[in-house]
Amino acid sequence: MNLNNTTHRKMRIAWLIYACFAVCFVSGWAIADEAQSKSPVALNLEMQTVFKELTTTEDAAAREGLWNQIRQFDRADRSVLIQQLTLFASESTSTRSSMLTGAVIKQFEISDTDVINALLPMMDTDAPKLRKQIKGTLAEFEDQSASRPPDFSTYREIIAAAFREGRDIPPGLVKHMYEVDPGIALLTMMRASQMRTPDDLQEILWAEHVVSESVWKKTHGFVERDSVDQDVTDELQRLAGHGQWWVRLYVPAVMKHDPTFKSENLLDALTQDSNTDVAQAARDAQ
Amino acid sequence: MRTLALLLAFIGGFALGPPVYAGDGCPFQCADLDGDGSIDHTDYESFAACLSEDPQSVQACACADLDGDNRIDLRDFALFARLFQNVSDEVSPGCTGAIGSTVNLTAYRPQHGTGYAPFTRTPVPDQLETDSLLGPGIRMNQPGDADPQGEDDLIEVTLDVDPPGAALALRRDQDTLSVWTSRTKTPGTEIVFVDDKTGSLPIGSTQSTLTLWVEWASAVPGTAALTAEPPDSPVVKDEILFHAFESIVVALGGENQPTSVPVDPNHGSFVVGIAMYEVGFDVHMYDEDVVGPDGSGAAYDVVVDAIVNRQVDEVAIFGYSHGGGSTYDLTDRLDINRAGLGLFSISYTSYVDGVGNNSDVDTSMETRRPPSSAFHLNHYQHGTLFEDFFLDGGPVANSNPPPTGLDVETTPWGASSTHFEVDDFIEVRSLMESTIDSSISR
Repeated sequence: MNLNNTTHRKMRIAWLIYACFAVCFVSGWAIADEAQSKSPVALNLEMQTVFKELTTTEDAAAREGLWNQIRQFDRADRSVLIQQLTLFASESTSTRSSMLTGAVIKQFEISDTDVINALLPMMDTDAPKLRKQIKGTLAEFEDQSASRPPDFSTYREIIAAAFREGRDIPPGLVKHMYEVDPGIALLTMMRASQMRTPDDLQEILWAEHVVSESVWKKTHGFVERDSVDQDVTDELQRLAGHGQWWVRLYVPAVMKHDPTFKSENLLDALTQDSNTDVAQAARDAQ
Repeated sequence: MRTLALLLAFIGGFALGPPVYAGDGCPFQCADLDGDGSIDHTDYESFAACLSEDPQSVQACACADLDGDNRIDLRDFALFARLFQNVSDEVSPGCTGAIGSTVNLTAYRPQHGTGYAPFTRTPVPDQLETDSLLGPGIRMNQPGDADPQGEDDLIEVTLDVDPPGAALALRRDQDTLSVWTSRTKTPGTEIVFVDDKTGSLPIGSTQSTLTLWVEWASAVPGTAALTAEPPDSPVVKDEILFHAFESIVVALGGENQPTSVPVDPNHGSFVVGIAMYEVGFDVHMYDEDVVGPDGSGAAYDVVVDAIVNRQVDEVAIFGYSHGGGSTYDLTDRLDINRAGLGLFSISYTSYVDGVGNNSDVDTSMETRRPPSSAFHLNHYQHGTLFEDFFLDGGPVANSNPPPTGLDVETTPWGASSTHFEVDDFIEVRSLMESTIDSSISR
């Protein structure tokens, strides 16, 4: 590649960026409308323009230059790059644009921890598409399959650090875990919370075991699919009155996950819970 | 169209002579010249041969003088065209021109949820409506059926009648079929059969179309016929043959390929899904996001409901890109949970450039063979960074074409293809359609 070609290509990319800026400002850009207004992270129009161009241009030479620009974004601030890619993907409308985030993560060998930490500030968003995109991205690091429960060990380290240091537990992350797998979320919170007393640990372990065993029996045909074991009802009743909010949160979460466990009385009571996340989860499960 | 075809044949028909047989007057129904109970091409050939003949002197042409004016001419042809492919028991043997009612029953392909999306409302063509494979399929509907999408197992049937308001009834050949005037079985809207025949249908005096909803209310699979008849006569005016589904087909799109009506022609999985829907399969189409990394989600729920509550025992699943990864995940979950579901086989699976779908950012090749699949079809290409972000599927052991599937870049039509177009090749879609058809029953 000679200097003239390089200069020409850079000029062409710069022109494309300026042109896209103009279009974006004139049209108001749907992404800005949809995602920025509800996300704690502001859109970076320069990055968004590069992403859009990379996923739409038919010019192979231009693609190479655009990849190099993304590499520069990564070197400047990896966290911002991941956040901007996530915002971009949440509003994407094609297979190509949806897959850009994964391609960048793979190409630049971005670690699980880097991605999770970058997404943490965005997890409390109330924008449905962005929430879905974050959930879909985090799944990559949970290694879940039909035969394997999700692995929340990376989240546990983050939450345990918050417990130890007396900081607020990231609510979006906790909510995410309980949505993916209430049982594993409960056990993850139990360990992260620095709970040490055997009796306290056993109370939670036993309750989760009873519920999980009931699910297992139903899944594999040992009991009717819509049956509810009295032991399960008793354990959920007990957990609904637990002193720790993250234990009470398990009750509406598991009822939403498996509606055959649903108890309107318990959910009604939990909608009045002193913890707003528990109360909201109860309303969501009703 | 039918009239035009008849007219063209009519012109050529003068060359033939009249049929030769004797008798007094029209011994059968008018227009049913051979007396076999239906008015079809054989009758037409005889009718054409009778044109301009004297129905009184050529006895074999007595049933061709439809208006009874002692001439066989274009007026008779017009009446014949209306009766063609039907049976009218109400035409008087005396052939007065007062033809009876004609009826056309039309069945539609299955519903999904509250309507037909992601499919269009698709009528079964007339020529297929009594075909036990390609004709109308129907889901078994039993009390235990969970109907994850709401009651959507009834098949829409329209009854078009000419003249409007004609009295008609339905007959079923077995009591597995129930008929309703509401799609959700609203109490009081079931049409009652007595000895497998209804009374007069609720057709208003000026009404020319009646919409009915047919239910397969039995746990026993098979075929069952529904016919339209006059209330006081056993003459069949039109017939539909239903086949109860014993299989289910799941089609999964790629990342950001939502289902749509009309289908996006670049969403190859859904183009295949629609093709199979139109030839009598029970097809369900989804965005791959409905399948979680553990295989759970709406697609799993629908398949489980079909196996547990509707006696479905054959499953086919296929997908493109992340939909390929989801094909693996869904198959894996079904296989792991067999003990709680019942007896079924995963008869068919297919990846088109399958990409693992642990997450929305998963870019790994999906090269694991779907567990317990009896037949796996695999198409893949080779990704590059600048063309398609290195997205690609790969060889899958024990796949078709043997031994590991087809690398489309080794074919003349697929050379230099990218991930984003591999699902759109007609060659890929055709092989999927033919292998689905040969791998599972309806």
